[in-house]
Amino acid sequence: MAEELNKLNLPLGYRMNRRSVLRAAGLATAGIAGASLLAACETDDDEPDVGAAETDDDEDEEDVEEPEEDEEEEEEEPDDDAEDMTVDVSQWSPEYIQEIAGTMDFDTAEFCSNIVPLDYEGSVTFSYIGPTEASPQVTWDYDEEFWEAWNETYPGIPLSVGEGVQSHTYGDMLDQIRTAAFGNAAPNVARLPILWGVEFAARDMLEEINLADFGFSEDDFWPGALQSCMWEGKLYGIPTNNETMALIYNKQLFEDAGLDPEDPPATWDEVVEYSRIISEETGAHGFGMVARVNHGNTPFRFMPTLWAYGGSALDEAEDDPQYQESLLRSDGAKAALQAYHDMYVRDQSVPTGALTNDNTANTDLFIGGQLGMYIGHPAEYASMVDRAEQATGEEAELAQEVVDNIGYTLIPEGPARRAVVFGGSNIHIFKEEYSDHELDWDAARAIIAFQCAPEWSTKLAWAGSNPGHLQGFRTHWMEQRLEEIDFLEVASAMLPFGIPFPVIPEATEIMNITIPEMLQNVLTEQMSVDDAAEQAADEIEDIVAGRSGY
Amino acid sequence: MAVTTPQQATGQVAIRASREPRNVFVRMYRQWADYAYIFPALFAMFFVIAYPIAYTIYLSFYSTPTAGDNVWNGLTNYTSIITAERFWMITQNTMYWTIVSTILAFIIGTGAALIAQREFIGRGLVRGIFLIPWVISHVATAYIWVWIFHSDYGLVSGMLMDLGIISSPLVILDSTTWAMPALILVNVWKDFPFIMIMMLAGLQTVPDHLIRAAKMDGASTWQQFRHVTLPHLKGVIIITLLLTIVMNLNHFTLPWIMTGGGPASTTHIWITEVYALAFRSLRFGIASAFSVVLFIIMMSMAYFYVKAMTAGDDRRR
Amino acid sequence: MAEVRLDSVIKYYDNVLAVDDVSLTMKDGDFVALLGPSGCGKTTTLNLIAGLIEISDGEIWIGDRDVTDLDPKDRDIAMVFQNYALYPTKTVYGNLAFPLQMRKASKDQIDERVRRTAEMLSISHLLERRPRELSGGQQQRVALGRALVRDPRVFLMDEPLSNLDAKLRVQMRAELKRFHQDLNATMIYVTHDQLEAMTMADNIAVMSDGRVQQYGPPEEIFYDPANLFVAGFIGSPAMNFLYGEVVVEGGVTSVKGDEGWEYPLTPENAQKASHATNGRIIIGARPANFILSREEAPGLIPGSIYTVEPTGDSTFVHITIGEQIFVAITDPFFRADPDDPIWIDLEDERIHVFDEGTEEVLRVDGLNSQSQHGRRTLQPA
Repeated sequence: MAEELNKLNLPLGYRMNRRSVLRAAGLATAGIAGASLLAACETDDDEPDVGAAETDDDEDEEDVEEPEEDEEEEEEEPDDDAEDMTVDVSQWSPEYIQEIAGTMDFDTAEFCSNIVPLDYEGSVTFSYIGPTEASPQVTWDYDEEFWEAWNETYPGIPLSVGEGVQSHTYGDMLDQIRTAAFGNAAPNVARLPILWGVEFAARDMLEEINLADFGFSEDDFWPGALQSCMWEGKLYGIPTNNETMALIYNKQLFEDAGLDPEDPPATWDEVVEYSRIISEETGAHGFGMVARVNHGNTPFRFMPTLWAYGGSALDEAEDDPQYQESLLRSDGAKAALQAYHDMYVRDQSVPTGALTNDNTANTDLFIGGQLGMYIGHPAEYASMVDRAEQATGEEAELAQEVVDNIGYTLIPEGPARRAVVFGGSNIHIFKEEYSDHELDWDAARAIIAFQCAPEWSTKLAWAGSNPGHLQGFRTHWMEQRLEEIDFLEVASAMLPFGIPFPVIPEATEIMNITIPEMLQNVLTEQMSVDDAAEQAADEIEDIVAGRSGY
Repeated sequence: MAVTTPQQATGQVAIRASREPRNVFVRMYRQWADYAYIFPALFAMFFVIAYPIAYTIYLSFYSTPTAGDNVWNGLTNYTSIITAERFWMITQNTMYWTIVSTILAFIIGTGAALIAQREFIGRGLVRGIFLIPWVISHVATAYIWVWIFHSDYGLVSGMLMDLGIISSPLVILDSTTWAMPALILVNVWKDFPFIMIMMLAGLQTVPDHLIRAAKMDGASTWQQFRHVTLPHLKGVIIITLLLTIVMNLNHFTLPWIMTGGGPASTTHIWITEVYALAFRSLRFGIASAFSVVLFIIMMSMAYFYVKAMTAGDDRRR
Repeated sequence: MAEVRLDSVIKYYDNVLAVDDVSLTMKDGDFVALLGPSGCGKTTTLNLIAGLIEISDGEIWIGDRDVTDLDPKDRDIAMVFQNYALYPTKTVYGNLAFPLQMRKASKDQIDERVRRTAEMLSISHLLERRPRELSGGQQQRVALGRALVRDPRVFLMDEPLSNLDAKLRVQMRAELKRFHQDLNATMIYVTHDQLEAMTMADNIAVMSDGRVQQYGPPEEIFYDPANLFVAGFIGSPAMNFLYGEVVVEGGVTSVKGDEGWEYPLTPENAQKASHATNGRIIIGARPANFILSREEAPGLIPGSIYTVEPTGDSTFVHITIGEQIFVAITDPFFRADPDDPIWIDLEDERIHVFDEGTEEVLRVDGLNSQSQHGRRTLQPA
């Protein structure tokens, strides 16, 4: 619904939104037509709802997990001969990404033939989040192309959407897969947003994965991505794509506020400072804070700050996380909360609606020229460009001006580190006993190898993510992508700083409820920073220890 | 039971037995067709109602870790709920939400019904306008009102600022004080047409001759309403209030979409809390126990309510 | 107690004229019946007097007060409704007390009046019951009691007996009449049942098409109908109408029927007939005023037996004259076979002569003192 209304109205900041509301109201009151349209929208997200209401905010992430793709690559397997195609993660930077793009040719069919013969005959069932009405055309094209290529490569394992392949929407998939798995009707292979898999791993529903069986090695993936597939020390999935966000800012507002538009904030302390200056000097909001509860947008925006200052919900930002002790009691965590408190309460330099906003509201404010900076996703950037093109009249001018003045940069660092939430998807194999289809291991290996190898890892992540297989960054397809999509190299450059949410089934509760409620307690001054942090730390430790009552 | 001859007594028993066998299975056997007809419905109800309720009660005695099997923990779920400060805070929110919403919607809905019932030019138009909130879906309503109330670009603040009445935007949905009243306002706006329709339907069944009799007896307009219309509407009022209360107690969409239960849980009500517990936190055991507690509370409220409202009716039958 | 006066009262429902220029004076203490077929405007007239509907034009006076624009509650009148209109949620006591409560009587006063009224109506034992627990007759008494209890100046009754069974109706009819005599109150009583009107009323206003056709005591209405409508409406079986042309031959005036018969008129009737506007009259003769003869004789109207209905204390004889069938009442032992010829004589001093054109009664002096077209207030003759 949010999506629909947005599309309908293209809100651009306050003035425009007022008109939009009137328009929406007018439409509704126009009677049956409007009502039924709105009703139609409603049915979509009504039930699974809850999730949906928030999930749908199109762009970004959602619940703790995050759908999309990923990043880097690394070198390629020295399978054949070839020179060293490894990707050196330590050199990671926008420049390095540009440099290595297009340095490697890759033949998927040849790669796969080493794993499962191309004339193998078998069958497998597969579930994933396919393109939706909201997806850009390029996503549809690559999806179609993917299945064509697959059927050409493995004619003995025919697959297409509807025949062995189930395409889900983001809002429905978790419930559907959960229900299917409980009913022993799960697909053989499922590509799930990062961290959804851990719940099934914890229930012992997934097959353990040995990367070598699929022609991969640990070096082919980001360590954080592999970590997100681990449960109790064992690997239960393979990353298909990874993604991160970056800081988007409005150069014009920086200039109006007397800040250097080419020198965006490098630290979170500077963000607080710049936010205050922008708000004081221009009247616009400085930083796009999100602190809504029960909402995936919130942890995606707040955790980078928390981690940067040295805090964490558990110990997920540390080298060898044990997920038992909460670091919210740390000084770093309190400093991060204090920074938020300073912006919201002391300086009032961020949108007052932060407690109820999802990130869509920030996109609206930003494209309306009313927001200085916020943490954005490549898809949000793309949607703003789209909206600027679709807007009309005065609004179009304003939106175009904003789009022309978008700056993007790495998410700022803090005293402890630079950090961003590590998102993406992983592919998993359900145990035969939880599936209604015989598990044909060779067919499953074939589809996974085909999909996770550099070519399709890159192409399927085209619009908003990055290949899970690091060597995807070396392909010429990546070169083409970097030319087509702005902002990509910055978001991709954040990948080394990506920290996955705790890889435990309780992560959803911690991230979507405990953390946002802690934030709200601080921002509404119901509690002091110390008390809120201590209370949240206690709760989180109770949750992971399984001793939480109500 | 006066004196009855053995013969008579036997006769009576025999008659009763032949009409209504004491053994339920015998009765079922004799009326097998009746039961066959309702069987599909009963069968379906068992799976969609009885089984889930039973399973919820079962789960409420277990802790349900994501990894591993359910563990029996007796009444622990219940005691932890009842003793939690948060439960009572949310109960307070729920009561506030339900009672104020219901009363306001009822007063406004009844008033609207009385207006819509009168004969005047443009009555159809007015009735139509009153119905608008009702035909808009809840989700659309929620989003529209979020825009209207929004602290940064809301319609209300914008207009008041344009008029120079206020100088900075009103903080409504982001305020721990005003978020709930704002939600209630929207809820009342959304629900009053339902009450209006129910009451209008009731009003149209008020016999005209009773109103005329009351006029003749010297009753003022208010007295006619009080002594004739209102007693006649008693049944409709009970049903409407009951439905509205249940609707409000179970109302999910507005709070969830408009505030997500925030800020600082001030708009969390039972149903959003249960949902969050079950489907956000995956704490099915606790959520089940919570549901059972709510079930008990609601059933007893309904029982006493219905009993109170129907007291004194028995004699008439 | 008070006189009720309607002065040129007109009521339109949208564009339909329901009450057409009605002027009536109901004397203090009178029992007046508004009688007429459905849709004649009698109930509308009653509601206008009650103030339950708005008047379109004209004035209504009760006693010396112009109540035209007053609310019902300010007119000091009570009304008994056809379906009783008892308050279903109140007890009998509550129903009786209600009008007094609305008038802010004291508790003691209310109690005293309610009990007295209940006693008068013999419903004291029902005071704690609710209307749905009462029989029709008991409900009727309660409805009556609710009207009596506050001692209004005028009682209005809208077909109060029509929901009762025949036996109870006869009984209540007598009781009502007795109440009226005891209370000596002005009562206005709407009914479509001429028997009720005839038996109970001091004066009857016969209405049709929104107009009062005739207003007078029952005997006058019966014996001296002002026009064809009243003549036809009152009386059972209904009056027979014989249509014909007035012919004068050799100083003798007779009427020549359309069926070919010829009937000589007495001088008095001839005098009346002479006023006929187009030379044609209608002779009205009640069934009892037919004298049957099996012998042909001059001046008799020939017919044939259609059928014979013995009723015990008299016999109804249906007679075909030309194409029409007429009814005669004759002695209980009269018998005849169908199609037997029969000759009819009329009781000349009891027959009525109507002008075929205006359908008004014709009198010796040619004037109809009761013309409903006059704009004068009708007083019972």
